[in-house]
Amino acid sequence: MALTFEQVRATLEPEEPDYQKAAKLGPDALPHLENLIVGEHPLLASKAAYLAGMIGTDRAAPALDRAVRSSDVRVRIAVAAAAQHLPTETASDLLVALIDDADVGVQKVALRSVPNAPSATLRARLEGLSAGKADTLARNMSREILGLPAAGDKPTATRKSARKPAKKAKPGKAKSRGKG
Amino acid sequence: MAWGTQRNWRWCSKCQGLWFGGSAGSKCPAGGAHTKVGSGNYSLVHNATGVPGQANWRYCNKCKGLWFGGNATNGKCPAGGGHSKVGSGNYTLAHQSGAGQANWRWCNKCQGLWFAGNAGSKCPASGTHSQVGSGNYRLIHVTSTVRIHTKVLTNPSIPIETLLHNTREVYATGQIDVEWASNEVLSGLPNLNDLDVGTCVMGVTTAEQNQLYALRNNVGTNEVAVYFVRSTVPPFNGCAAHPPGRPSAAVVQSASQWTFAHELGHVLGLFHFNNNDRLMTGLGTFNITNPPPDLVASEVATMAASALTINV
Repeated sequence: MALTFEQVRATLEPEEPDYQKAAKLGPDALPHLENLIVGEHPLLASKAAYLAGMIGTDRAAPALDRAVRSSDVRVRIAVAAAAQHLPTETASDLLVALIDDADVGVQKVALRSVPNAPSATLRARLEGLSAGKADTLARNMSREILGLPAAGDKPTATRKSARKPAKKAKPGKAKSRGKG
Repeated sequence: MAWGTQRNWRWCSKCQGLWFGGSAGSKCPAGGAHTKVGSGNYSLVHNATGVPGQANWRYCNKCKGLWFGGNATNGKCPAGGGHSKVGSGNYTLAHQSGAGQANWRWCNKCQGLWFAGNAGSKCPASGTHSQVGSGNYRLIHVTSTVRIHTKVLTNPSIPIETLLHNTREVYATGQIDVEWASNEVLSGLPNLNDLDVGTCVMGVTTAEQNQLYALRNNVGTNEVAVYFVRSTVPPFNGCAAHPPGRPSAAVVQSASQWTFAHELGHVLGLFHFNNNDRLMTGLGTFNITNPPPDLVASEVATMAASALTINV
């Protein structure tokens, strides 16, 4: 029997949805999630965006694209968070549009979702963000991802990194992020 | 913005009136002082804004009774003359609907509040009290209380006053008082406004939750802090996971009118149950039917056993 809109919606209505369980609805849920993303309820829209990312697959692209272009910042935050569940290439494509979002919350979550081996385009955006006059949080997070000293640190200063011991990072040289 | 919650209001079995048992020197129209024998412990809110009900109920410092100060007359005080509102807060009573004990009435003769469920009332103006022209007022009586502090990073879509009122309504069915002890705006925390709550499993918290829930101005031991944030990551309506010794919950901007009470229920030890008549429904509080939602006896017992509910 075909998955209905009501069934998909019902998985997202709890205060604290079980996303692991909901993801088992599979790709057939994606058209309904896309409808929820453009719907009027901001909480369901953001939950739908996150679940679309958890389901992943190429068929999630239209739903995720709608979420990235949402005018509701909470939906963009949700899709930024969902990026960590996506394959590197797909995640990089989404995050290119989100890491320098006008909203600091979107930036924060997007930067946390940067995959270990970001695409060249995403890495270039990170480098631009790390060197620019962007919000301090985003600038520092992008510098941390790239293995650069935090803004204001002396180039030789040892610093702590949330993802990798700072003592391994060399000033001016991008830190290896896994296989990248 | 937080309102006052005052207990120790008592029913007097001699005159059927409501009076404040926290002050000495009460005066009963049936003679002598009021009695609290047989009375529950009633809880009233005062100096509240944005809550349903009728305001302008006042404490009379002469007879210690509650009377309505919204009319041109000060009524008739058993201590002589009219009632006084000097030194009184502005009390709001649930009117026509709401939780609590119904059949409390305004007396158009003395302006006082009295319980019409029993025979034998005594009015200071003469004879028995009258309920002509009165609405049906409801009073909450309680046996324990939980103290709540709200911390605001983003204001919720539904006013905090409404969320606290709804919580009071639901918890009153278990005779648990909900005190709104303080409210604080937390500015300058944009990095915590979309709060990483991880898996939102009780006992497991993220660095962001630990950082935010450490901000506990005014919050005493065994008191609960609820933080209003724009969103959580991943997206939830709220999350009650908190570090040990810091009972807390987060509620997001677009949460339902019952999410606050639901998350507080988790903090007090409750779990989900898939029934949309109940506060702790696991199907989403936007779907609650027949509001206010229910607490069942086992849930009330669990909450009463929590260290966060204090007997009163």
